[in-house]
Amino acid sequence: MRHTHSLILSVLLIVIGACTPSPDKPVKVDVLPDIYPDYTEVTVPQNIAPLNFLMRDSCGALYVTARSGDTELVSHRKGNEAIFELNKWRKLMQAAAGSEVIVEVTALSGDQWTTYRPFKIYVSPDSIDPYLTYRLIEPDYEVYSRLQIMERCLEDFTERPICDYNLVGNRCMNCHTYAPGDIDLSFLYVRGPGGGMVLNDRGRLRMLDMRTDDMVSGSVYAQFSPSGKYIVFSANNIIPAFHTRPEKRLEVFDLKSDVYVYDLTSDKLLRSPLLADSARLETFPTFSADGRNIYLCIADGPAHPARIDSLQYSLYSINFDESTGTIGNALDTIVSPTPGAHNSVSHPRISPDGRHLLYTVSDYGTFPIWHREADLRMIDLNTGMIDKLPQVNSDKSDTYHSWSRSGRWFVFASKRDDGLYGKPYFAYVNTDGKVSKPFVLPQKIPTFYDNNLKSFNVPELGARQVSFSSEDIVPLLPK
Amino acid sequence: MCLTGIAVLFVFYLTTMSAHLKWQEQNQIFIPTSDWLGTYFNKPAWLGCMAAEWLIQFFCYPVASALILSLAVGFAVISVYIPFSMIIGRRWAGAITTLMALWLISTTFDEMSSLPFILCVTGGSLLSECKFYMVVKDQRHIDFSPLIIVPAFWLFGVGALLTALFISLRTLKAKRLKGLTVVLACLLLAVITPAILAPRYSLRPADTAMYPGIPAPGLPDKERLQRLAIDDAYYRSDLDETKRLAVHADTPNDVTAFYYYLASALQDSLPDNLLKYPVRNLGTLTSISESTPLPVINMMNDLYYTLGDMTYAERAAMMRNVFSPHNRNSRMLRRLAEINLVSGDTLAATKYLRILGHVVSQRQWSRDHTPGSLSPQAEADIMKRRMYVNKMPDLRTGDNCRFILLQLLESNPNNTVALDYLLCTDLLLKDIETFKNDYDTYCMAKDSPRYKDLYQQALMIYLAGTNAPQDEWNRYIRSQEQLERFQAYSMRRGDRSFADTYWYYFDLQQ
Repeated sequence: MRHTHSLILSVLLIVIGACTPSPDKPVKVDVLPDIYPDYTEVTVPQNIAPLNFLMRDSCGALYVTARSGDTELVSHRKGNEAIFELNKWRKLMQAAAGSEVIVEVTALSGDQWTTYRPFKIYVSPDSIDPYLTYRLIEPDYEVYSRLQIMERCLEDFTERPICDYNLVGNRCMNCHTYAPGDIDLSFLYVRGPGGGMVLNDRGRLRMLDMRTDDMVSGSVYAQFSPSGKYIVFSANNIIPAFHTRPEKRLEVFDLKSDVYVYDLTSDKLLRSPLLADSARLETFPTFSADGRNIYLCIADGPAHPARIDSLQYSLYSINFDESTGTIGNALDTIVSPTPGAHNSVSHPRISPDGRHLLYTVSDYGTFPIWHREADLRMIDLNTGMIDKLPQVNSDKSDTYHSWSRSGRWFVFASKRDDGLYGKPYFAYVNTDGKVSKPFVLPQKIPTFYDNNLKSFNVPELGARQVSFSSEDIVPLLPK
Repeated sequence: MCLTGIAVLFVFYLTTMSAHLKWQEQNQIFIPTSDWLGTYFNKPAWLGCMAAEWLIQFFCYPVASALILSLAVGFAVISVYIPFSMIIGRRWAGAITTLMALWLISTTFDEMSSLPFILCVTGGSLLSECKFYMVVKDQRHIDFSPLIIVPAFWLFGVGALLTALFISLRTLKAKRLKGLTVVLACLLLAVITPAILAPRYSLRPADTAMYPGIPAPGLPDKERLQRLAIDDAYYRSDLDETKRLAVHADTPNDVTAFYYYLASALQDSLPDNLLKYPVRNLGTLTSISESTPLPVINMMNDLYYTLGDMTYAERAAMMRNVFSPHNRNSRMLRRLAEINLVSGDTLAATKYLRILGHVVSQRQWSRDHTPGSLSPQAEADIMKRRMYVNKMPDLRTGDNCRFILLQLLESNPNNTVALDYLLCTDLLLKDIETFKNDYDTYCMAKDSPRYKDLYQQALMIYLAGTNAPQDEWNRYIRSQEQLERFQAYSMRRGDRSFADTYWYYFDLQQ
């Protein structure tokens, strides 16, 4: 269907393009064009899909050149959109790998053509993992209907559901997560009666029941160990709440939470009193790149709505022995909120090369996606230096991040455009650990984000297409 | 006869169903941009669904909605009558299509629009008229017409079943048993096409074959139509009409009562009217969740927005949007834009206004409310609402309305609507002590007593019940007329001549 759609659109574009006015005596201005998405001075991987964009100012036609060396690509269309042809874009990206593309926008406004100051797009020779999975959900999160977990190819615009409400009875679903060391191992959650964690082991799916009677809930936040032999997860008693002040909106906090490790080979649960202290709230666990440590966030409990801003999470680590499945007997503090300051830690994720730890800081609590002040931070685990990532963060929520397998890219959900709807942004980390200005997931039609009413939730990068389809999940669920 | 039928249907829809059809218009969004139109290709019947939603956007105009729907039913009936009449003769075709017309009309009373289904029926029937032959060497014709079922399914989903039916019947009539191959091919394609395409559409095969779904037949629900008319009058800010329709509702219920009181509150007459309506529902004792009926979520959205709690108004609007067909609701997008304008979140408001700029029913409203070029009326309304928003820093884990009302009054003691809802809720619960406390806190202590007859009557119950000294009576009671009536009532408790008083309600009514 998508190919037919593309064909119809292409024919329409040709017809429309046939009578597009050409630039005539354009006036040059020394200002950048007001384009959306903002692709000015961003760094992109050479295998990214065309960065189509639109001009926010109304214009009758747009003439855009994208040039690298001798290779030039032109988008010349009526209206305010610049749309590049995929195959030509790929050639441009190959030519520009390791250097830059210079984009010049000439727009027709009334009878006058205007040429804006050109901008650069830096093209990294480091490719990004070509697939991205995410959940599409309204930004309320408290209620849901018609959810989908989608898989999008970053090299073009193809998208498919890997879990679809039509097939699973409109259940809640979330968090498709890959194993760091095995591209064919992943899981996602399908909630509701008979639901749980769906484990994908090379296309073979099974429902994993890790819950025991003494847990406060089923697993909520989980990650694989590098070997794929273990899953570390938190069980959280989650309470949704609403702020009175409209600028804050939704809050979610845990009344209780504990962390456990599950051995996938023996189907055994591993526990430690240090990870399930009834006086503390343990959550967001993740393994280190070598599997020798578990990183997690811990706050003093219990949480109370009236004192929610005192709910400050610190980042800890604890030893783990993958060969024996033994959890260490001491917690090490990695990042602790500054006394009096508000910088609670959440969502630690470690780069596959083990060098960087990316996490979110927010004023308090465990739900940074609704905290405007939520920002990403990156620790160099070799030096202990913390990078506040000013070139990455915005004045809206930036969180839910994950790494590419090379450790050169990370993706995160940002609400920077409208404060409400999360979109996947990608940032490049060079060999020196310097992070570039991020760019949003490109879309075939630039107006997509303007009209879209779903958030891209928990984006995860994947090295190849997942080996199951949404139909494969159906037999795991009760009729 | 057909034209007469369409004319009768048009008049019927125009005179009785316009609020119902407006409701259907609100339950969708149609955006004529390529990214949005492209989403129709993700499911079968893209042409039927796209055409229907394009037409439904004009349901905001009563004449247009009646005309579109009556013509759509008429065309569907004609499109079925023509092939039937050629196959089984006019008499039988007339009988079958009359039944079908009644059935199609009955589906238009459903809460969700049946126009996509009606257009798919029309399209599927019309496509059966296409003939596709290939002449082979010996001048014989090979009939490839069953292949039309594949594009028919792509364009009109369930309508393809009619394509298959009519091709089969026509072939059987023309060729008798020699046409069995064509019939079998039709049957096979009608079954196989949706089965093959189901994974591409992420649907079960049966759902794929029946897409966009066969709406349930029904009869016009007078109570629902009256309820929607009241809701529509309130949406148009016609408060007098809202109250008039509520008063004249055949079966007063929680929804009619709710809008009667909300309109009264906005006219500063909630205490005056509290005991005048046969059903008492302010909405202040209602919680919403995923199992709450859609009209009740609409109600709570209107209540919180009017009172000034933008977080809960936004929650209800989001909820209503999520539970609309395809998670789209133009009225709730407008409300989300309003909420964000009041909250001062220009970025978020612009997001919704940009979408509403494409929606026929909201285009002008969107222009009037665009930040930077707000119309004077829109600006005045936003500034007024900003004065009443909840400014208390707090985190709520439930939608306890009393708690919300208290916070709104702490934020702005001049929020008379919130004050009346608080005091009237106390009185409906017959909780005189709490009423007295609230009255003291938000009226007496702020030096702004509210001398409404209802409150005076309730205060007399408290004062009499606590044997209050005369100076207390003097402090609270200003209406000599009410005082004299109270003395009269004390002599004749439960007398029907006092049925309009709070004393009577307090003593006798549930």
